[in-house]
Amino acid sequence: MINIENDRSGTKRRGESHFGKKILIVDDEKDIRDVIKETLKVDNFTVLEAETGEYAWNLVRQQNPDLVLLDVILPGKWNGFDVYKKMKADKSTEKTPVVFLTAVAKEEKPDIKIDDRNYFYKPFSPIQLVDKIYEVLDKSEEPEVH
Amino acid sequence: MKSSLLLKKDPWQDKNDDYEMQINELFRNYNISTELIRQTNNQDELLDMILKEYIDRFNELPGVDFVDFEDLEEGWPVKEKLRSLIRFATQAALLKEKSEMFRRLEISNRQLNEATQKLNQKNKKLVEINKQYLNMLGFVSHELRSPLISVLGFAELLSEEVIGTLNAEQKKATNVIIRSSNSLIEMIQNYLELAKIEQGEMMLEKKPVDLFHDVLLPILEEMSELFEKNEISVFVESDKMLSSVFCDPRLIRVVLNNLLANAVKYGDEGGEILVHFVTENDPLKVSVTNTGDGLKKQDIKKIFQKFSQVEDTITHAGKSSGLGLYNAKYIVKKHGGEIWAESEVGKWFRVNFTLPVLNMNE
Repeated sequence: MINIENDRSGTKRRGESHFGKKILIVDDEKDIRDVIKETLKVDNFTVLEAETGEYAWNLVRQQNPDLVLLDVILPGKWNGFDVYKKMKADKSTEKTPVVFLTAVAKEEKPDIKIDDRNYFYKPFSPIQLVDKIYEVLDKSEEPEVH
Repeated sequence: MKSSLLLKKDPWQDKNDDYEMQINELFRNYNISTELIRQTNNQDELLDMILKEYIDRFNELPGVDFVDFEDLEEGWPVKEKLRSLIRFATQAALLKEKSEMFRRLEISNRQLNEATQKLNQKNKKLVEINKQYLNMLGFVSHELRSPLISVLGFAELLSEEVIGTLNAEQKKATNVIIRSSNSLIEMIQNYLELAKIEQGEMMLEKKPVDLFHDVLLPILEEMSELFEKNEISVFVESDKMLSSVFCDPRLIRVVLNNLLANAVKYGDEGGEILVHFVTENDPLKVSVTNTGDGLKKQDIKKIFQKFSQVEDTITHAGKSSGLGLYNAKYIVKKHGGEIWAESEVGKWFRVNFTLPVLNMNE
């Protein structure tokens, strides 16, 4: 029998392992970007923002972020999956980790294979999202095993 | 003979006045009434009846020799002529009746068709209205949820003192915001699922899922504050280590989330919630039990209905979409499982559901 303990310690500040890393937030809702931005700033991440897929792709190429938080439904021609495909097709960005933020209101079907672990569902807890970001960043630094 | 030619006319289209007149004439002349025809099925009998009447009248005329009806021979030409006329008249009368019936049938058929058409149009309109309503339901729910995400996010940042310290009062206020936003999101989520169910858009994305780590634990983590506030102890019990189940993790999460939210809502403060997995069989069984008032048998029947609110319990919460268990039932059934509830009034309430384990091929 497991009694679930309510343990929320250790959620505020973490080590300096990813200090100053660049995170690109792609979401058309400013309020949502703001929540994420505030949370990331506390942990000393550098935050970039994009509202559309096209602009996000520009920023990815110019700024080379360490991680991209990508909303699936975006205004304009490209959705999140399109940006992801562009990134995968480019040598300089194919290894950049991506975490999808999705509302799953409408069943969005990507035409590419995406690891489930790269999904984060709305509504989300910003603190859990930061945990996720740490987890993905930690993993991306591990040497790849084939 | 002219009369036999007339018969060849299409009797169903007796709009021809001449034709009708001729029949009527015939009937009048030979004193054959439909009534008379109906009295007997035997044409010979009919023939005799008519001849007898004629002869009787004939005999009444002054200066006419007596004709005996019994003496008339079979080959008598008048009799033959009459016989064929009667045959024709009988058929014509029957056909006329039939055509009248057919005409009436045709009219009512046409009326029926018109009514059906109107009904179809109305039905089409209703389907369209329902579609619009469901689209709107989905849209509104989605739009309502978006701002709530940032409300909830910032409230959490405040509450966790990520962006500054709070005094006790402020913390309390922030936690109320979080709780209310969470229950609002939960309600909206259920409306979104309903819209998908009703539009037939709920598709399962099945994959092997670790029910405990991937589904249950994240829910318990999210709800931990709610448990704490109601001083509820949560226990998880399993007969053995859970292997993975082939299901749609997001939807099974909706199910468990709804069951646990209900367990808190309708359970007693300071009580217990037990999540129990029985995995040795296929399908595996999951049950969520809470201590509390429970429900009477007649009320248990209602709880899986759409928009159900059991009257006794409305005082408990007053904030429920009435969709949680309806959606849960739909999702479980869609997975090929069963869901049912049981209770001991005054002690506990439990919802069980099953999930097939070995349907990897579906």
